[in-house]
Amino acid sequence: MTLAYIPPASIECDEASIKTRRIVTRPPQRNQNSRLKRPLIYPFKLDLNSEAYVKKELKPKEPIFDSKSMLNVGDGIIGAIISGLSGLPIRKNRATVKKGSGTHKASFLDIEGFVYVKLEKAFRGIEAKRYLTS
Amino acid sequence: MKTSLDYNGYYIAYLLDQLSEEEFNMIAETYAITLETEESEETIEKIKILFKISRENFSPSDISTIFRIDEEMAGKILANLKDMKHIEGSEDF
Repeated sequence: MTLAYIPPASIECDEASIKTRRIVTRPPQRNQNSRLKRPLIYPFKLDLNSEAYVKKELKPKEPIFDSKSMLNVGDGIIGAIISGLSGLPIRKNRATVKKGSGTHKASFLDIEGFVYVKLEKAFRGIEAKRYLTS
Repeated sequence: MKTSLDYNGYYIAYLLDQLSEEEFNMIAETYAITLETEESEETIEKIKILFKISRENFSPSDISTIFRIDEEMAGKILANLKDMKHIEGSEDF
């Protein structure tokens, strides 16, 4: 089980568990990756501090979009902004809203079909520390 | 932008169970876009203008959606523009 807090990091799986405060969905795109057997892919962006974990592994367990993606159950990415795509449209009405941190509630939901998500921006504190130490 | 708003209207209808899965899939097919994978000068100029007139910090996925270009390519263009000081430094990319 590996957790990544700094980009570049991504996960690919059959089913993912998501925790987020805002989901931005975008119009579907035609799939141009021949290794994914779906005609359309549905991009989305998870904003305002989010987490994504592998719930169900890919079969066969081989990365499709990024060869460095994490694939094991429990692997996850945590950060300020996460973007990605799914093979099926997200059903937000399956989300449950409950306490997500000490100060905010968050939506918890599972995304089915193929899921590829990558960390786009780390938490502000981690980003600032990296800037100061580089 | 209008396409996104229209699509989101149908998507909300789907989430509220006003559209069946088959109906939504047919509508999604009509709104599906194909991303450009080749870099063009025109797109780079448009991105420069966007950053000039807006103070927003757009991420590569935002640029990819707005200009319908590949996300990886959007990241490279933003990194180049940042190096060449065409856009303000940001931690986003």
